[in-house]
Amino acid sequence: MTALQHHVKTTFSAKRSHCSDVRALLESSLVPLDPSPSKDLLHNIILATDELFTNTVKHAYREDASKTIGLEIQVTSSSIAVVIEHTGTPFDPSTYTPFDPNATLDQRRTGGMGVFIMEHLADQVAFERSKSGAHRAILHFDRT
Amino acid sequence: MAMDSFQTTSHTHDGVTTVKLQGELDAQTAVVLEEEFEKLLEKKKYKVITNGQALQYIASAGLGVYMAYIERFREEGGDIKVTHLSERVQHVFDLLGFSKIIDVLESDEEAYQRFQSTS
Repeated sequence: MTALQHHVKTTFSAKRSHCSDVRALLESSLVPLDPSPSKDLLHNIILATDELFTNTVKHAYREDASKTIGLEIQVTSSSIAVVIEHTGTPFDPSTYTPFDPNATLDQRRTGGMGVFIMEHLADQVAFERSKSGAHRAILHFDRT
Repeated sequence: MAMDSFQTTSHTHDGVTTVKLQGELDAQTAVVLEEEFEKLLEKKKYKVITNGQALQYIASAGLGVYMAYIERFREEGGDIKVTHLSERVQHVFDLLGFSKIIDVLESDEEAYQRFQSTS
């Protein structure tokens, strides 16, 4: 296992208003890295994480601001991983209808855009259950 | 950060309303754009240019607002056109295929001319 070069672990209450705080935390944690991620990679990480955080607030916790969302940033020499942890309703890929960016306006649905963004911008997306029973979504980004 | 991380200002000229978008449009601030579109519908201002010159960031919730409203403007003979997007914001429009269903143009003038040519 590659050694962690940088590690951040924190929690946010499950509120949409924290989306901008999550983005600011990612920027302040990742920009000082040496080498610093490219602007495109940084934007990809920020946008994909924003979508994951938003989905957790909306779907896992149904906007219950008393709930807590864990956020972890794990940086190694070769990758950046963002882990979002919650104890609400887990994402179920078997019931998810993929978003179709080629659909016409009247065929489109708003749901699924966040997952689509995550899957396209991250190099790997994983969903798992921690030993404590919490649900974890992990976005992996290659640094090269 | 609170709601004031995104704001809109609008002015109407010759039946076309230009809405300047400023800040970060995400799941928290998308309601500001919804309210702007609602106001325009109430005032029967159906020809709208949203200028993204000062739009620093957009998440899918922002695009969801366009999707929720554009048909309502088109049904009234108008449209919502988008101009002056930064490369990064344009990339999100392209990724989600919104550039195929919404006019994304370089300038307000170009958008204005499109409205004039179709009226």
